[in-house]
Amino acid sequence: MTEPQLVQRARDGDHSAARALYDAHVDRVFRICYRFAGEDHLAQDFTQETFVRAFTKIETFRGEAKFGTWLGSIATTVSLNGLRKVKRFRTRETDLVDDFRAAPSGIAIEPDLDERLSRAVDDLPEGYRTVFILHDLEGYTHEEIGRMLGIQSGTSKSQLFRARNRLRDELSDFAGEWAS
Amino acid sequence: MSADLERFTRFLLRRAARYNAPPESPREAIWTGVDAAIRPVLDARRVGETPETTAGLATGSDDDLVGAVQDYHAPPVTPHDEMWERIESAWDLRRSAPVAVRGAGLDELDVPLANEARRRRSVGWMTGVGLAAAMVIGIAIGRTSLGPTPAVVPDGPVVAAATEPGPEAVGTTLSADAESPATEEFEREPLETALTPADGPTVDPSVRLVSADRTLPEAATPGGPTAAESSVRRPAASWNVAVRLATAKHLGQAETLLTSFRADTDGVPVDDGAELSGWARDLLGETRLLLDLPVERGARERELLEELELVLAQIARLGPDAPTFERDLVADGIVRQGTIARLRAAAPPGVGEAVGT
Repeated sequence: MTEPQLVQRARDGDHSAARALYDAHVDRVFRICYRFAGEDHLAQDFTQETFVRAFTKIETFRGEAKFGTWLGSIATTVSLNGLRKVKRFRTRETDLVDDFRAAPSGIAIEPDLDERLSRAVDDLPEGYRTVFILHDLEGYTHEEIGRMLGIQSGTSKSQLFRARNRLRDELSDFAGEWAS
Repeated sequence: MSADLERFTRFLLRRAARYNAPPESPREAIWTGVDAAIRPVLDARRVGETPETTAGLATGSDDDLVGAVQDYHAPPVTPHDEMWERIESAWDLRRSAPVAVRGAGLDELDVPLANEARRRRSVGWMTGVGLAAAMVIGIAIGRTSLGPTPAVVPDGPVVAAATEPGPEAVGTTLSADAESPATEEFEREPLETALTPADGPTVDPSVRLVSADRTLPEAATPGGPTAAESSVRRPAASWNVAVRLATAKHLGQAETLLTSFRADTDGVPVDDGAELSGWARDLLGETRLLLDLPVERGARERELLEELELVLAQIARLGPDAPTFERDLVADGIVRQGTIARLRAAAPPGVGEAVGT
């Protein structure tokens, strides 16, 4: 059975079609959610929410894009919105924790490259980070990202360019790693 | 430089693959939650019911449970007449303050936006109450933080007078009444603090403090600010602090909205489309309230608020089913104008969060 047929059957309330669509796309959706969230339980929550929304609103899927791209766009929105809520909560928590953590002697421990890279990606502006994750880590094309985020593909390209530039600046201490 | 970036990109693609590297998806665990949520919806579709009906939830052995929970927070009979009276009175008040979109070329937006504004009148009231609360807090902060300071006598006279001599100015010119009760209530504050440009206007827009222009003739007690002037200047400063805090908080919220809007899906009519429109309408009302406040703003801030008003009006008009090109147009406009960056610059993270949140 083709994907459009599955979509149509899911629209008509067919559980098995919904399950088939879920099976076909859950890994991809979970990957996106996990890339954004970085935590298993959050990624699971976001993935679940993505599919619930998708199946609840499946009649609004017009078939202009691939079903996977449509799901990807929902997953991105759900993850970003979910993370905003989590961040607001955690910012308050972090403030409290920081009060207890006094820097003992000002000795700065240089984190390794992976840690610095992770932090640099975390600190990217939301738009840059979104495009970077979808393009460089998850392999979506600029056209797909454009459709997912509602931006022009050129905008996606420029966001990615800026994201990479910013990461390079942030990691300039490690320039030897890629220059060699 | 570009060769360096190319090398870095190759390195990045290799190295960043480990960033938040996802494990295998626990598909069965996730499906359990998905299935529980969508089953009633799919069932309702199969039998041609609307998915929202509680009948769709009542399946098999869950019947009793569903019946039992009907009493939970069971709504009383809707007080139609009472609510309508309140709506009408609020509407009348709202109509007395006309809603208009500023800026040229926006005539076509006026009618739908005015209608929207009327529809959202209850939200407007709540926003107004929120702003008022923020201002009261600001005034309290201003009073306590400025505190009693040693009397500072400026070099020259600082005159309380109307900006332009005229009939209305005469009526509002502050008199140097040393016997005024306000004399004891407020201490004088340093000139630099009290007379910053943004501190110009007072609550009454027809009254202005003429500050640094020492060439003006003295119209009050020579040798320093009058007691009456001090009494006006302190609330003015508090008012301005409150307005600035409220503005900063508002700009921060607007920045969050615009960022969400840009990141939101295109042509995917999920709930967020409607949520964003509603959110934009709320902020639109607040923006207009801020623009209408009798406070002197820098040209840049006013321009930003006016531009924000336009953008919010555009987003508010977009429903979940808005065509892609319309959303693109709005998003492109935001990018072209650099609105988000300017909002960030105007309201750095954390500013204004102390108030009202």
